[in-house]
Amino acid sequence: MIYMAWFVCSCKKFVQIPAPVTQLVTTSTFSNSGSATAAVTSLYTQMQFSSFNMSQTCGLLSDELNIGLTNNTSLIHYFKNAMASSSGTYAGPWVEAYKYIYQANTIIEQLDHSNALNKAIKDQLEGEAKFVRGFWFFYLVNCYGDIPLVLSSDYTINANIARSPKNKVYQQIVADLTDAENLLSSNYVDGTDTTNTSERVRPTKWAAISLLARVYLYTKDFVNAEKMSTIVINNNSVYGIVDSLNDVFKANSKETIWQLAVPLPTTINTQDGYNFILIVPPASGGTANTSLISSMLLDSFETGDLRRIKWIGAYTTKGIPAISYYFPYKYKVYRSSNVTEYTMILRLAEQYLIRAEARAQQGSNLNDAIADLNMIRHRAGLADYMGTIDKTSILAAILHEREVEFFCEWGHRWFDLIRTGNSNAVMSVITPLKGGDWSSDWQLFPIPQGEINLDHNLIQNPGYL
Amino acid sequence: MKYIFHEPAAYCRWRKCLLIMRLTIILLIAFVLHAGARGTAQTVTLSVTNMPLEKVCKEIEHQTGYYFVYAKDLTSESHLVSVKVVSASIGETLRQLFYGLPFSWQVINRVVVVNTVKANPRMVERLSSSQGEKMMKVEGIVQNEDGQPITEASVTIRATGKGTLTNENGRFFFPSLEAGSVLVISHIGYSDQIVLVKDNFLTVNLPVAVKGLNATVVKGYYKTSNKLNTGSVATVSGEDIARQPVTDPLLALEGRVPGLYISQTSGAPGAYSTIQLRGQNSIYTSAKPITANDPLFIVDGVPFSSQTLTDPYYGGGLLGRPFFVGGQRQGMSPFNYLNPADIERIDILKDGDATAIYGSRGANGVIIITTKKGKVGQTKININVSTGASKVTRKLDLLNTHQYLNMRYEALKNDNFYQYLVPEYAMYFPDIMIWDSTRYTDWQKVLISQPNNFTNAQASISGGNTSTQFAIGAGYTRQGVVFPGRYADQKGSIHFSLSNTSPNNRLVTQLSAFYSYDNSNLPGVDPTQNITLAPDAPALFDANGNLNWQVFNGGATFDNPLSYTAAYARAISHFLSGNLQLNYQIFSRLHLSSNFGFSRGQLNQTNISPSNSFPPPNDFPSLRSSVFGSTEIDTWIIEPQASYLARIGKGQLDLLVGGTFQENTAKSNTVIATGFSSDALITNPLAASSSKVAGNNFTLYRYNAFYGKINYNWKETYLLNITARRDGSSRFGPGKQFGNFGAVGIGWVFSKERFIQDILPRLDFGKIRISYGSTGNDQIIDYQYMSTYTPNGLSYQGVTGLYPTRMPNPYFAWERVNKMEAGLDIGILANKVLISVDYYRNRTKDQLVGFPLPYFTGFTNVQGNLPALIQNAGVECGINTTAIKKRDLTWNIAVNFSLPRNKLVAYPGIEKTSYATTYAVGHSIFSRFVYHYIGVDPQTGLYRVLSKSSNGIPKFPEDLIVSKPITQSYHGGIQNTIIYKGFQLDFLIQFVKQLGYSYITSFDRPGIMNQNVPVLIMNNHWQKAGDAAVVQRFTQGSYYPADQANGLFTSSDGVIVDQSFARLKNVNISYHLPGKWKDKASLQEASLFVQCQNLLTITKFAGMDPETGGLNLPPMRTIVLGFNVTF
Repeated sequence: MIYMAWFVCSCKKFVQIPAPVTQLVTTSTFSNSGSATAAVTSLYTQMQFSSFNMSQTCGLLSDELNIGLTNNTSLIHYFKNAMASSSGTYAGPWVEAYKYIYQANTIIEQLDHSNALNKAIKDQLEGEAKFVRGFWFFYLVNCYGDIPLVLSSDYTINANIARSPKNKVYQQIVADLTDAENLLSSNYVDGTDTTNTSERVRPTKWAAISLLARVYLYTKDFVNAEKMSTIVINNNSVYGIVDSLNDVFKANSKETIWQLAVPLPTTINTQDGYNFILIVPPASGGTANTSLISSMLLDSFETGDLRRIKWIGAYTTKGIPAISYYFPYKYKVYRSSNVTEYTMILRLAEQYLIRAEARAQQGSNLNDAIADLNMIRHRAGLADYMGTIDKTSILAAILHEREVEFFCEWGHRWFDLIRTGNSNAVMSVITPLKGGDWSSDWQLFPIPQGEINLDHNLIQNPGYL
Repeated sequence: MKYIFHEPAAYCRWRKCLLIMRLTIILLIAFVLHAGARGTAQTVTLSVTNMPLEKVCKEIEHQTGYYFVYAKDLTSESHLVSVKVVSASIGETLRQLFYGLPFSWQVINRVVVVNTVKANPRMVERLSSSQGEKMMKVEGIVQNEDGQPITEASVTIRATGKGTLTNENGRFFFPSLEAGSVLVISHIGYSDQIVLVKDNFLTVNLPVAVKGLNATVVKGYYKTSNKLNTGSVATVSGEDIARQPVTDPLLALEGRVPGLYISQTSGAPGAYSTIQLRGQNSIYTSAKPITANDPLFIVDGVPFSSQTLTDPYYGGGLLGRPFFVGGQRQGMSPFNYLNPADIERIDILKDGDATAIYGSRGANGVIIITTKKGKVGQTKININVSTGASKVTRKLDLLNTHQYLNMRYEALKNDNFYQYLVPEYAMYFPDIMIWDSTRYTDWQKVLISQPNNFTNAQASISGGNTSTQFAIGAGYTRQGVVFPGRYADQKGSIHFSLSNTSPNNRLVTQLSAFYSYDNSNLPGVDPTQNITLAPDAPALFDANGNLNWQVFNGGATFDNPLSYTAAYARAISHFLSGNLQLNYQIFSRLHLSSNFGFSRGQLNQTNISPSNSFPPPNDFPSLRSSVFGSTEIDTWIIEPQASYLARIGKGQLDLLVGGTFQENTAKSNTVIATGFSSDALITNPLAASSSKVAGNNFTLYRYNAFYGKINYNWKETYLLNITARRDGSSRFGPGKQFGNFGAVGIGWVFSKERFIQDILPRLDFGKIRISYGSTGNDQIIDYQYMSTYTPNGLSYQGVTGLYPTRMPNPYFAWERVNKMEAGLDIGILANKVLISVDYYRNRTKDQLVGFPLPYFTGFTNVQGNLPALIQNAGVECGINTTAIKKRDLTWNIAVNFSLPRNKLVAYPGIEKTSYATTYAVGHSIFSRFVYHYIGVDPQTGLYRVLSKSSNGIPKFPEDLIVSKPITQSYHGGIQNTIIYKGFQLDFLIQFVKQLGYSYITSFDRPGIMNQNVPVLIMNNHWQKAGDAAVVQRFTQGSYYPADQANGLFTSSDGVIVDQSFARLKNVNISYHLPGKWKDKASLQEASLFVQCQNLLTITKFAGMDPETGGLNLPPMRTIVLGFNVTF
């Protein structure tokens, strides 16, 4: 009997196996600063690979990009403002954002339980996780409107939740970013989380404040928007407007508040560069090298705007007649394993235009608003703002400046149209030109149908089947 | 047979299948009627003239139940007798029968002993004098034809049913036996012998039974015979495999086994096959390996993984990545590592009774492959060499340039795109504006019809004496491919087997091993997909022999389908498997044995892409890349076992207990090197400017089980087989690792019953077997219950990232399959016709499936036990007949037929899962939710599907209906062997009734740039209002309604078509040299042969091939010529 009992016990042990040598058990991941940091920075690696679609997707949805004669159906549908809920293609931002939010939630929970890390490291990592969560909630709320507010990693809690109203989501974003502001280091740190570095590839206190400034602008809290952008602009020992347009998107340029480094080794620098730059005539299929700058965007540059020359590239055929195709050329590197450019996410120019808009909206100090606007105009080789000095004209000028400054960059144009209430006026003209029909319902993405099938508490956005 | 009529509408489809069943039933009824007319017990009615004596004796046996025991010369056909008796006694009948014949006869205890008068007069004398009185001490030895003792042969006294077993020296002993008793000696795998006790010492030789009721049935840890088997097992012999020119033994099973459906996914050498044994038990999801529905494979006692070794990250070679692509698995099939020539037999275990001994791993059935062993006798050398070539089975009739351009212009006109035919947009229309539109190329001829060669050379040496036997085999196979370029899969293998029996016959040692080396340089892509290139597409090579890309403005205007010729892919595999079996007899009837097995598979892949294999502009150093992948899978297994055999009463008891300890480790590693400064340096990773580890995987799997089996057979009439086991698997979390499984099988050999013999005297053998059992399934990816982080191999600020591997769930446990089976085996016409009919019903519950989660939870699924209940039920039938057996002519026919049905019986809460629009409760899991197609709108020229809404716009999911199951509704094969003198002809006809996807789905929308289509599409498409067409209006891809309509069409039942086929799968013609020639050359055996695979296909399917379906390389028609000599 004893022998039998021993035998059965040893067999239980036989089938109890350790974690594979290629993986790390979650709790031990967060009991060591190296692996905990790796769990956080891998977020940026993943974002670097898949988030580039934001620039192209929103560029197609708005009036920035054209698709030539491509037969890529999903690009055609974005372009014609005809997204469909049943197609997995349009699930892009949803899937990506929630993947990062899940990881951020896990990190926050695990760090809470971990006693092995010192406070400085723990604060930095928790701050980054909260920053990333706030960042992606921001994009979700702007793409989809009300969204499921997922704040834990436990699927048994989350799998059936309903959408939370926009204001509640924004409250969470402000809370996350405020926490991040308090937790994050004010210096850029390297892989040890405590040593300073010149690489601007991890979020800092300033990144959190910059994003807060944007969030306040979007939520029309202009006082706080001004306050936050001022804090960043005043940190002029670290941040400044880069003189040469060709240097703005270089790795760690002075304008950079936060960039994503490309994980090494690599064959490209930035996904946007690889995606947009044409070295042959546009392709008839695929995602890369299919989209072109629209004539609307080309025409919106003022005469003499250097951005029209420096930030827009042209591929010209050698035949007769020679034909030119225009593409976004903010990033100069198409392919190279020698890295000189990083993916820009937050840069100082936006803070100036946020402050300009916040000041103009408050109406008390229009000249200061114009001063901020001129900062950006001067760099583009343009003269001072010469329009009438009233709130409406200045706001229109700022909005136009944002259009030509941030084109094909993280969906700024598309979100500007929507948040300022201009989308219906603009798109009801543009969409028919693109061969589609506009409805104000198309301001929001459809919730992927598969999500509604799985969670019956989710309700589709209006207008979508 | 009511069970099959789930839906009355389906009745028609069953008719054909029922025909065979009906025939069987009619046959049976005929027997019953026939027998009823003659069913008397103790009297005999006979009227025969000039009938062979043996036949008359048989007839008397049938009528009376008396047995005849006689010497061999009685059976010679020279004794023809004429008898006429009506209701005569047995004595009277026998007196008439033997009148004037040189035989004496005696009736002893219902046994008629017949002897030649002259040969043994003393015998008769003794018999008559000793009747019922004389008791004697009898001992004997039972041995095989080689003179080796047969241990544990059963020796039964026919009159009483009692008996004994032979000991380790093949000896048996009866202290006191009535003289003249009749003994029946039987052993699994040997033909029964009946002997008469005449002396104190008997020597009995048992001949090996190759086919028929006595043939061995391998049931894993034990063997039985067809006669005594309570489970459902099919066997394919090594000879059947050797007659087919294939390099993958699985392909040799196609169409041969009831219940087993194998289909090729590609005609490329080494490609995977889809294997289904009695249907699909489990819903497949990404959380399961693609082998989750495969049977368990055992090669000489060692589990053989059906998972490909091809690197999961970067596949090299045509056989690509091991993921489902277009519903089919890719990667090199591991079965390619087995040499068909080394295989002695393959046993396929199907029902609960047969598979329960394998417990967890046998849920999808078990396939046991046994390699060749040495035999006692002179050392034999065998050489077999063949060579031939392959062609694709079928080609499509595609448009020529003129037709193609017409299609394109029509599409451009339809889409209102003529305006874009200007230089500004030339790059969007290269086929019209850039290429030479007078060119015509038949791309099927260029891409998949190139000459190639198939060579197979095998040599073996075998032999041994009674104590030690050995076999050594070596083989080389080279299988070319129909693509341009010198591409082939080459395989070399060596196999040996050694067995020894100790002088005291107590210890039997058997060692066997094989090693194979496979070298494949097949390209990374299948050029078959490029046969749809526009017929005016440019030449593939320029005048200098370089790849032509027809450059326009610095960019390529098409993807050159031969770009793979500039690249280089090689996959080198090593596979080693060894097995040691020790069997020791501690004392009489008690054996201890152990099986030690080890196998190791290793694959190294190199995939090199120089810059000229990319379309221009390709002058980026970062484009050049080399991928180096390696995979290793190691398995070891130890199986201690004890068995006990005893005679209890009139029956025989078999006990078996054992255990299994198994461990599998798998490792894979992929390195990508990029940034070479020159193509010349590309094979050297040191010349790369950067290299990174792109994948590094490790998994450990451990499995442990204890099992026991009790088998009892009473007078070989009532059979009982009980198996039980407890299994543990490392794939489950703490507390969930172990599961209990078991099965009961009962058999009733009713032909042994006197009353049955009276009713059905013509029935030689009849058995009913019923089994019920449960087996488990742990076929999921390892570690699913663990919460872990995995490195992503990418460095950010010098820190290599970690990401969460999965959504962990520690609570899932074993998936269970409950199997029920009822079978009938009968033998008639002196067992020349053997019929076996099975009904089975397998139900799988607690499905181990990735439980679908919304994306916003972070992962799309979590491993769990799904409440779905899937049923696979069906009828299988096998008929083996010896139609003709004459001195010079033999004709054997074997027919098998399978009628599988799948059903999702229940799935509580399915509407809340993402399966709600995939599977329908009450329907097959091969059914799909589709729109109902109602044809092309004559006005708009667009495909239309049925919509309930008033605006005619179909709504998802409201307008979906459930399609018919897209799978086989029945399948089978007819195997014929005809031997006439030295000639032998074997041929196998395979037939499959199935639904599949229309050929239209293999092509993009007709009219799209650089996309050729079959003439059939051209001839049936919509052109103008009012046309009643089959194919919708052409579009070049920019007319939104046409795209939308095409999308609806491809998700409608309009694309589900009949994909049935009948195929002359295999033909083998051989000629055996006559004896005198062989003697002159001192050869034991010599033959010449021609073998053909996939010779002829009959189908209505309009696509490439009904077996592979889509646009990938169809199965090859291979014809080889060869010779076989033994000396």
